[in-house]
Amino acid sequence: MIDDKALLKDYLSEAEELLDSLLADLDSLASSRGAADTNVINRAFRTVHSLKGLSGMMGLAEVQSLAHDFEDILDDLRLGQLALNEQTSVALQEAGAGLAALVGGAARASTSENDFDRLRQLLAAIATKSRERGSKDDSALGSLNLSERERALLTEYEQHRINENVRAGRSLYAINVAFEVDKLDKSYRALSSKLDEAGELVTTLPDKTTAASLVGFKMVFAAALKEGDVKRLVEPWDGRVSRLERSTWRKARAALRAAGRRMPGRGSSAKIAGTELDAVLPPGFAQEALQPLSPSVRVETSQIDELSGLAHELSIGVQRLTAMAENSLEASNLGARERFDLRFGARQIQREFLELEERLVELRMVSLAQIFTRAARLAGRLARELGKSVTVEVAGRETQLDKVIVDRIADSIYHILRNAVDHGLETPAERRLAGKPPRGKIKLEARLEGTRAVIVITDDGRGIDRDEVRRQAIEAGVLVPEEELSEEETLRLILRPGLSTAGQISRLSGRGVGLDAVERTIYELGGDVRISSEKGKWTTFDLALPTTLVMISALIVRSSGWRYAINVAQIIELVYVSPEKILGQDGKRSVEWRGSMIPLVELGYVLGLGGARRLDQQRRAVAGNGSMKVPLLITYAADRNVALAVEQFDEQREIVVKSLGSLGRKVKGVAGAVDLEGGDVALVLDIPSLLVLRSTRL
Amino acid sequence: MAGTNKKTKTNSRLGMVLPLELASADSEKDKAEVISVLMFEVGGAAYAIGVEQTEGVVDCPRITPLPSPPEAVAGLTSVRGRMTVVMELGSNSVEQTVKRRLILVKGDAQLGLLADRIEGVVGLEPKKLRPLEKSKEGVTAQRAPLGWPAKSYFKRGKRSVPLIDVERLAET
Repeated sequence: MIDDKALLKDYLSEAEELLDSLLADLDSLASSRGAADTNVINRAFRTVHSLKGLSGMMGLAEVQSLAHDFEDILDDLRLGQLALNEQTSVALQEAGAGLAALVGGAARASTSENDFDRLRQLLAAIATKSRERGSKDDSALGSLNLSERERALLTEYEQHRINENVRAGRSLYAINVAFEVDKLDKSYRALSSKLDEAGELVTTLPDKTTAASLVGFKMVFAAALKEGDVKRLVEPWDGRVSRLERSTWRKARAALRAAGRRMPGRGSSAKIAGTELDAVLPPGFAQEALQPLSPSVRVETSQIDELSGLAHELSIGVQRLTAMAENSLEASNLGARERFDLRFGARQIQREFLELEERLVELRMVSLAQIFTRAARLAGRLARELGKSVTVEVAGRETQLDKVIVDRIADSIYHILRNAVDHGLETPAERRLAGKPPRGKIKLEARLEGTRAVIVITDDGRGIDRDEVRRQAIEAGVLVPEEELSEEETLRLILRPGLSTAGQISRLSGRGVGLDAVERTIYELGGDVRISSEKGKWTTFDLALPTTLVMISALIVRSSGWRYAINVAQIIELVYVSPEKILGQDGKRSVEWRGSMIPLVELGYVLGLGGARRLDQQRRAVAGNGSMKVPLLITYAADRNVALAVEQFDEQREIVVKSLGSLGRKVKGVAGAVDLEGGDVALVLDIPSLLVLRSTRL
Repeated sequence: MAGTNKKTKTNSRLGMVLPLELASADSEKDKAEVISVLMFEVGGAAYAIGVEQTEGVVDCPRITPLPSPPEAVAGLTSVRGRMTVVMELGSNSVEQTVKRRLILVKGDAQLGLLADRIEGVVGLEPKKLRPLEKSKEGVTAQRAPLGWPAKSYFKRGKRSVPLIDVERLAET
């Protein structure tokens, strides 16, 4: 059972998706009327395989084993070793529904052992039944690994013997042997008499050989012996032994035997197909699956982004309407009450739009449960490999972060944990010497601090030796010997490429690559890494991260000496025009674009930084012919096009938009900011919003 | 106090975040009754902010101007990857040639307070705090209009030092 609520939610949500896909595929197989699409079978197989893995990871052994049985059946189906007829596909649908019904209960530990058994029997019945239906005759023959040609060579008596042996619970083996032509008679007799002593040699079929001087045989042998015993038996003749029964068949037989049922043989098989399936299924078994496992709906992140974009456009529209209303209020002779109502209503809508946008951002949030669980498992496994012993304590799994952040920090968390296990933790012997409990402890914890999430990874290992780090840094030329550093500064040196905390290089980590990548990843996401440690006692990594994140493709432009980032989605076209094409004066300029005159404003002016200067001055942009041209970006505000003059187009790139915090959000027309090289900050402008705010000047 | 200043110096060279510590000896006595405040100077006037409300002090990186910023906001800067809104108390700001310091304020507002000089941490008995009087014309150390991000002040030597109210600061 899964105790952790967040984890349970994640498991159910993922399992439900897999089961939905499985049930849909099984439905489509049922309606394919024999002409099954192999793609569908393959997908169903993979789905069940994933469910098996997922359930195994969560420690749900029963679901894992059921999924495994299911997978076996689908595997046979997919390899064409099992025929898909109407009854099989209906039974598969039942089993699929049964599995779906059990998963939710299993995760909450509310499913009884009986429920599992019933489904196990159903799966066994399908495997058996399909065998029967899949073979040409109604015997166990279809379940043997014999080619059509070999099967055709069997006499009726031999077929009967095979069935009898199966019914008696003996195993069937194929023994491939090759005899020298000249000793054929003697050798064959010796082997066959030996086999008849131990069991029953049902038949001998011709087989291929590698050399002309050899004659090959495939002997069908039935005995109540294990494979290893048969191998020993035929060793003197260099016989190669393989089981004739397929694995699914064997498992089905074992399950049915355990359930106290008779092995279906000739004559009894017709019954299991119809009546016994009903007996295996309890009433209402499939109905349970109709209840959804988790109340969530899965949507693509891009859909949320689209909605966010729409909400944003709407809020700009509202801003514009508000500005218009404000203007007409000035001119109107409305009473104080009406004015108040209008302003109040407008503000209310603006607030609600802001909330809508915030809620949409929240939709992108996922919990850290999955990567924390994986990380803890990974650390445990790694410790075992290294002969160390560790307890991994996890806290704050439910902490939610933007999906993009969670996806990108996973490797960093694994990396730090690997470091902690590999050269943070000592071996149990070393720990005893140091007076510590032999079992090491690693704490992985997350918590929210305001708008940031902090992930703390602590181990109680040997800590970081500052003197050693310093020595290495000087050796690597990162530090001059005279340079004095504070304790934290010294520790931060391990984040530099080429420096390692490990005394020796190991297979897993300690090669001095990685921690710098960790820091870079965290920094790019707008977070930072802090390290603290006490030699011989512990090491702690603190990763502070923003909880939300927006990534956009942006154009970096220059204006009034500052750089700005503009979302390319807000840009219609980039053009260079000659200064003489720009008409009008300060604040009322216009330019021809696509056959009509559109207003032109200078970015610096809009931002209230540079004022309205002469546009032909200080232009560095040079068009192909070498003449001075003004770089313009054509954008839009509300419903009309606007040309925005800048000093220079720099480059286009993907940027992570960082939040300005609760106070910065009050700055209109600025969506956030981005770190640029050289420690500079570029504001990410929200052009439509910025222009609407200055609409009176357009 | 001298100890704090020394620490400030060694750290400032690398622009590291300096964890603020209780440095003055008298803060050790009567611990329960004393609050620790960080004293700083900007535009020739002294201010104080509760140490509990700060995250550290850094050298102020280059400030990017914001369009139509809220009052007292000088612009935006990035402190180790975190966008920080830089606030400057007092209107008599002069073009600074010396490197200024930025006091990082805790909270969602992602605020930093500009300081020309950090004086250090002192222990302060709450009973020595006096409420700021309302004023209609301008700000002095004892008087301020409604909305000014300080509600009280205390005397330190001959100076009156307003104590910054972080909540009000974030509401600006």
